[in-house]
Amino acid sequence: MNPKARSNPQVQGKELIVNADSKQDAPKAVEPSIQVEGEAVKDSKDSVATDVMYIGIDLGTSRSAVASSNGVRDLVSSVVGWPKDNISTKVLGDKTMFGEDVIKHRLALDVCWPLADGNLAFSDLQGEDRNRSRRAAEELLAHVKSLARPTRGQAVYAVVGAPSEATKANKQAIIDIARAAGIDSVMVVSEPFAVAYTVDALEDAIVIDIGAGTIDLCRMSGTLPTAEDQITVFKAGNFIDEEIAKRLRANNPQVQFTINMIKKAKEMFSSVTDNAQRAVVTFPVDGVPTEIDITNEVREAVNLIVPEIVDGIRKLVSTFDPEFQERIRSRVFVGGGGSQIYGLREAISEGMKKIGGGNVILVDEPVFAGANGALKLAREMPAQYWEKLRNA
Amino acid sequence: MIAGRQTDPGAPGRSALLNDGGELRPVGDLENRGISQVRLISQSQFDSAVREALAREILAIASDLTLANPDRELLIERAHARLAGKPIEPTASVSPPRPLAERSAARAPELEPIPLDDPEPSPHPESAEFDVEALENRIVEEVGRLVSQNWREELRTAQDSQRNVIDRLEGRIDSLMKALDQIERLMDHQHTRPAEGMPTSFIDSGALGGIKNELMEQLFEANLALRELEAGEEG
Repeated sequence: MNPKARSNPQVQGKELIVNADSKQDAPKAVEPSIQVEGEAVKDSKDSVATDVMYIGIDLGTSRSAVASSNGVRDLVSSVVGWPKDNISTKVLGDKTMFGEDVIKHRLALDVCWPLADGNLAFSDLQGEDRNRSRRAAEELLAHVKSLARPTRGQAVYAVVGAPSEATKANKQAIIDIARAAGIDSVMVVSEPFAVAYTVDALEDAIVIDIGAGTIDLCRMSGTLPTAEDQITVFKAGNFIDEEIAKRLRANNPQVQFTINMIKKAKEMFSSVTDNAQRAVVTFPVDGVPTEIDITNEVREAVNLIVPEIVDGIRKLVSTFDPEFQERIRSRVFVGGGGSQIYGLREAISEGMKKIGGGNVILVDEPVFAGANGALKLAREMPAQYWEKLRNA
Repeated sequence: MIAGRQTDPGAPGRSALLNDGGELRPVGDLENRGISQVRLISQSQFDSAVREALAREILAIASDLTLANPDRELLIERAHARLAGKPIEPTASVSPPRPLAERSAARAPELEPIPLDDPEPSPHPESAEFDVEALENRIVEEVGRLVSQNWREELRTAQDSQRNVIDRLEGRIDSLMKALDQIERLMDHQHTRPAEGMPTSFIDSGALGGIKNELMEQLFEANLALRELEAGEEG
């Protein structure tokens, strides 16, 4: 963090860039840090602003990321909570809570995760549950928008990443809730496409977005990916959490833990290599904090996703133009929170040897890769397109 | 560097030998500085070496010397004799050079024909005998002047050539800076307010830019279709 820059973001130059803390393992919203560079752009505390703010949003099952044209980047757990009764209202206030605050006060809140398997959950629900889930999605998106700190009266144009196999109904639902959340013009793209856009891997490449709900594989061939170009694997971060929990329960039945504790442990010690550090966590045993070595549980669970990824790559390569199969195998980009798993790149490379080998490249800032790509796309999209979509 | 038993560095006869930046040091001084391997040559050896070098130079430029034939032949003969180690007459009967003021400015870079005494009677009525070493000194002076002039011309030519290259590079940098400035202004404009009618092909002129433009158009069409579908369902 650069407090000096925060206190006067226009002092040193032209553009305000807000970087998320490099510590991306915790699922809570990341406290942003500020660097000043480039042309001056005012934050929400200032009254002067540009007419349009562009934002890129990665709406994830576990976490949502936002990147804004004013340089802000932020991260929030995709969970919404409302006070469940009068007492909690009195304690926490009559307001909707988001992210880590929800997890912290979950016992006093009515908690809702509005995304499931990468899609908006309400589309599969009925009655009051549907309304509640939809409301949570709208409020979450409005909160994500506010994290970008648009100025008063500034139009917000957003590109939102959706899972590669999202249905048309789900994409329409994203547009609806984005409008309800106060976003003036919105465009939906497949999440792997957004990742590909951020690294300019727009042709002869495979992009893998490893999230909590899904692993999206997308083949880029210079055109907008079709259904044939995309594969979604429903074994992702959450699957790994459950597998770790299952193994830990079997091996250490006396250990007390929640899935959230497992998630944090996995992200701290994720490893699929044999020589990684030991994953030792402190979980209660009969109420006594006890050090537990969960290295093997983490390793076994994480290794379960590698064959799925390699098989997806094989399918995408084998159905590609034979002349370019070698090239596409050499350009496999991996992004998303799950790509941070230590040794994953090596494990996928090792797995790819069975299908002819290849080159696996981890994208920079994997947690923000989708949001960054969506923002880049939003900024480069011609103005007339935005206006037409705004009025459509 | 010449090591010699120099006792008077400012002696007139030696000062000319120091023009090239060399220096004379007493042998004792060098030995005190730890230099034990010192080759000593006498003043006469040094003078002889210089004269041999001059003789070689005279032979090398003999054809270009604009001297009267007998003068040139005499010089060449003396140069050969010096290189061959034959004894050379310390003096010879030559005609004195004309005063420098009489020389034509237009012919300054060239050596003036210097009338030397032939075995036959000199055609010049003003001829008089003088030391041939004075003539050698004059030739050294003239050669030095020519060499320095040639060197200056070489230097000027090189500088002109470099100046042309520098001018071309500066012109190129200037045009590139103008182009960069134009691109930056367009990009800033695109980022803050993507302009209607702005030539997007200019922003992304490469193959990647073409792909991006195509993809953005496809993306826009797909999103527009989503809205139309939604409107149709609502209708």
